[in-house]
Amino acid sequence: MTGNHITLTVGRRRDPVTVPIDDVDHVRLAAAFQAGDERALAEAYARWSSLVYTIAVRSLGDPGEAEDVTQTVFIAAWRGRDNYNPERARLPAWIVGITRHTVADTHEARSRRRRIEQAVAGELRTTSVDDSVDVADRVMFAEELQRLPPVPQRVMQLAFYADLTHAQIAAMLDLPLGTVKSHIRRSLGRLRARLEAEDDTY
Amino acid sequence: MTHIDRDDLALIALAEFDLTEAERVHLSVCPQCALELISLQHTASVGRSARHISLTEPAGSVWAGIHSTLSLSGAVGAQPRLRDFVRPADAEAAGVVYDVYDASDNSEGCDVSERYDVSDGYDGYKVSDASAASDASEVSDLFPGSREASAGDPAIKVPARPVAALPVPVAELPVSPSPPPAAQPATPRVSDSPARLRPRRRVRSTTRTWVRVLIAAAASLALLLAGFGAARWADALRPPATAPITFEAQLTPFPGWKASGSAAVEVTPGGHREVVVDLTGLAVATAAAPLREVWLIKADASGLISIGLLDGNIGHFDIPDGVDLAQYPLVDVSAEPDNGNPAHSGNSIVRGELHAM
Repeated sequence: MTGNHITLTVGRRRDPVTVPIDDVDHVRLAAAFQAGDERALAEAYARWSSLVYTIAVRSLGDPGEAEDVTQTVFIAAWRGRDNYNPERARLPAWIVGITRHTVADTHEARSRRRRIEQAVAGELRTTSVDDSVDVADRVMFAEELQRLPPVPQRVMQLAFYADLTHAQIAAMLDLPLGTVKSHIRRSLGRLRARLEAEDDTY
Repeated sequence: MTHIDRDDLALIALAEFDLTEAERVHLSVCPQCALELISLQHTASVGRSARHISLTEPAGSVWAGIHSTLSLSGAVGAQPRLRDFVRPADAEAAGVVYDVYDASDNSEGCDVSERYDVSDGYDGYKVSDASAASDASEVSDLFPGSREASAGDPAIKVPARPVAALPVPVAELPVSPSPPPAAQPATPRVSDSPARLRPRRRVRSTTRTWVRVLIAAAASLALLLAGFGAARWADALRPPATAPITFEAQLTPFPGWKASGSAAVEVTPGGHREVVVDLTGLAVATAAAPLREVWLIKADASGLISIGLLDGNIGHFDIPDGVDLAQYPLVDVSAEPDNGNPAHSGNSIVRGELHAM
């Protein structure tokens, strides 16, 4: 049942934590969160602080700033919980939406600061940030891939990362061709739905 | 106007199929299919580039800052840990929810607006009910240690990459306790459909960011294959984990259908189970509902699991490990429209209850 779990990397030590996340849980958690249950905030933090922090650190390239962003995001989510509409977005998607805004604000503040610094020092500074594809999408995608059931998850990993054809995947996993095609269609649709599901009401 | 087959469209988005001339013409006149393809291609490109994303936890001071800023109570003072919120029942229930795509997956239809329609009225079939929790305890009784094995068996881990500095990919290939490819019955499998014999489109010329990822993936493929081989080998040495209990069901037709047949559960040499569905008198598929889908359903129809599409009269379908047939005793074959909706159409052809032999 590897597929329903996320492996978290904590510092330099790889610490596999099994985290089943299913939609039943999300409904319960979202309701408690809206109702102002502190424990729901703690649970949301336990589940998605890694997601938020990873998006921030990959986008900003600075662990300190990413920690500030993470803190800001959860504080904003809690204070703005009345604005959360579970019919429009799942809780993690809403939190990711807040993360995007906060990261964008941080970039803006940083470039403002840099313009001032450059004006003062007259020099250019380069930073390495990961902006090849939208970072939040990639991190969310990686997380969502982990949430697929084991068989479709394996199919999609082979399709994406081993570049196998569906016929090769069918042979490798000993599944009927039609089953593999069906997994690819459904999983791709599901992954897309998650990428598109983000609510922008924040 | 015939839309492009949704399965094919997904493979086109993955750049596995090139477009036929007819499809090219269709895309130029059908904004629905064109938009669908663009959207799937975007998803695929995000997916390819997400290869080496690993999630990292923020430092403990972050929660302390949140806690003090919001003046939270001492009850949540400690750094929240996932394990504090994971109930054992949830863990196993997640394993039971197998291949049951929720209604929000309703995004594959050609009608783009359909994507937002999540109220299909099939909620009764979703496994998102309280009984999932009760299943969970039974599943865990039946498969003691299954989680432990999946979580930390060093024998089935993909070997560490040679470059230690590389981030650990979240999307590492799961190597264990899945059905081993080697362990299959001697009976030939009925393939669902003939492979499309179009050349793969290897778009090396387009400098997408993932092209480099693919080259890197080629190197790691050997590693993956080695992992699979090891898993097979280890599985071949192990005796089957479960006793080969077999079940059988007589499938009887619903009103309006003349088909009948049988379903039998076989245990493969590797210890995995599969349902063999054998139908006679299956009516010719209609254009409105051309697909035949096989399901395992709870006795009270409060949950169901799709196990595959039936092509022809006989088919073998893997039963996901962890599914308790006592909880899902009904074998059902339904007629499904090819509209991308993963839910049961409600149009069953035959159904029967499994009994231990």
